[in-house]
Amino acid sequence: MSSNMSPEFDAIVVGSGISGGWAAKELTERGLKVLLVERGPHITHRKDYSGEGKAPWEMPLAGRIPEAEANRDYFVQKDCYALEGATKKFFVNDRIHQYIHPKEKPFSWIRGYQLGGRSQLWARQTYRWSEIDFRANKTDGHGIDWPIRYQDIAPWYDHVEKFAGISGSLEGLEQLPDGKFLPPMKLNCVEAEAKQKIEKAFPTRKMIIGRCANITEPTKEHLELGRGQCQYRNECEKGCSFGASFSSLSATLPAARRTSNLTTVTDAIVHSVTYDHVSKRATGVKIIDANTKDFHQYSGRIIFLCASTLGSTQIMMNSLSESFPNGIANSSGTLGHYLMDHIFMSGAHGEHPGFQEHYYSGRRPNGIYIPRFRNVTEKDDRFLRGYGFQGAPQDLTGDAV
Amino acid sequence: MTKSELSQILLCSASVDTVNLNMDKNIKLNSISLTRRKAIRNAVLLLGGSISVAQISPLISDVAAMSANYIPKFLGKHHFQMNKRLVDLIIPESDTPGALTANVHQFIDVMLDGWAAADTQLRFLDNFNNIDRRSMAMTGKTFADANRTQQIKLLEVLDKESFSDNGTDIFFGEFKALVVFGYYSSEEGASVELRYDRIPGGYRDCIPFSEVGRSWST
Repeated sequence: MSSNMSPEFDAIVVGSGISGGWAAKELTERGLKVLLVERGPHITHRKDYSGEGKAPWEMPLAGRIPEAEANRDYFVQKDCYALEGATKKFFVNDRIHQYIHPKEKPFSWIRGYQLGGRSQLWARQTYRWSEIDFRANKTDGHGIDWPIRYQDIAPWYDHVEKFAGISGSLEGLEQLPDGKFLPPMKLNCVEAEAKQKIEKAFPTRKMIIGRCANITEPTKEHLELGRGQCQYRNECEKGCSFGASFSSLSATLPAARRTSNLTTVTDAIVHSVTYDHVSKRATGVKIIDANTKDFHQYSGRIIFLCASTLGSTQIMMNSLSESFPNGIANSSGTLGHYLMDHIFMSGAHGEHPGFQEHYYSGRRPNGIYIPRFRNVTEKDDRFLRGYGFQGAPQDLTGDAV
Repeated sequence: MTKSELSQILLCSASVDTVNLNMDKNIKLNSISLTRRKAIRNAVLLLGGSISVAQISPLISDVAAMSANYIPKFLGKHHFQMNKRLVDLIIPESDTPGALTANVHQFIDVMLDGWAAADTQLRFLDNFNNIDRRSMAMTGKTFADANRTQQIKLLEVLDKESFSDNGTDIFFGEFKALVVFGYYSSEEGASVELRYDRIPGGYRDCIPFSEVGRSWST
């Protein structure tokens, strides 16, 4: 392709997960002709949710994945709670998609290669960063100061929350800004009492209902996209035909499609970003057809890499040119370094006796949240900063609430 | 809500689809003021009836294969009989369905055939044989041939061994877990002994337990 030809697309978005879906929506709604490139197969909202709504006795092997298959094909993905018979088609096959890591630094790379990516599988907890977070590097001297502040991003938070449908309670906390929320889900009676007791014993701490991307009360905007109210089934990762659970398939891609500015290609693995050293601009992407293994190129004025942290990094490192011998935009050599994972499944638990005469109905797809208190409302020298804390109640006489 | 009720609702919504439902009317769902059934119907309606009955109907499941004429796929006749006795003793029939009514003995065979890896299959067979050996030593009879009192006595010993802090033989605990899993995954266990609600439609945070009457299975 020559740089003096006009590009085929105004923008190319690589990856159709949460960020790719958003990029496709925002750009197409502003009139740009967008190509969305997804490495996995095409799947269709509702039609491909074959495990949705199935009772355990309606699933082969009561929903379990055969041990031999799990060990052979999902030896990494099985670290994710959401992997089961009904959802395995939304996870990668680890036998086919292998990677290496230092033995002393294990890394569970949970992936979903299909249209919508991991937005099919995510846990939907959605929290704003606060001014404290944006200023943290400057305040304590660790890392490089962020070039933006809370006020710069707040309007975008508003926009995203309204469209996605984030439910949550208004708390007025400095460390956890309120947003444009749908009505909050309710705490059950045990949680409500735990909240009261925690907040009485620790006046500087709060326990609140989780803020999640499940529609508690649809707006006109949601309804127009075919999205309805949460039915409290708590099986969002099997696919939600009600569209109450936010995903690319339920929300951003339908919005992008209705502009008629979106072109989607699936089974198209982006190999690299092409670069023109004369104009000093990225000119498009080179892709490998997942089925035929043939190379193709697409040209675009703007390239959005939304292929996940590792996926986008891999593409950039593959994008070699005379100007960028170590990968595009990697003149500093920093690309691919300083990766840190979430701290997961560590924390505390407690049992609350009583309430034998009380119960709930509905399976709430959301838990509780304890906003950061360390070094916000309580000085604590053991921590440089602090943490927020997600939690889930469990009925010890039955199953998860 | 039963499966057939749900199918009726979904069928009804599918026919309404042709009436060209106007999505702009901003149908507001309020499950508090509506009955749950109505709420689900409305929820389906606002999607233009786009959830088909086929989507909510069962996948080809193992349940269909389980019946009075079930032919074991994995366990031999002797082991299957023993498994049947074990399952019956672990969750007997009471005022609610027992594990045999829920075909859990067949479920165990289905799981050993389709779910268990080779080492798990071997472990089950070895331990079934071991239970027979223990029974022979205690009563002079195989487990299936021993009388009910003798069987229960042996299971109490196995249970104690399995769940003690320095348990040497944990197989019985593993077996029991599979029985309990099978039972509460069955229609009888999950929706008759316990309560199952396919589409709750809403969340009620604090209600008298008596309104539900039993624990939710999911």
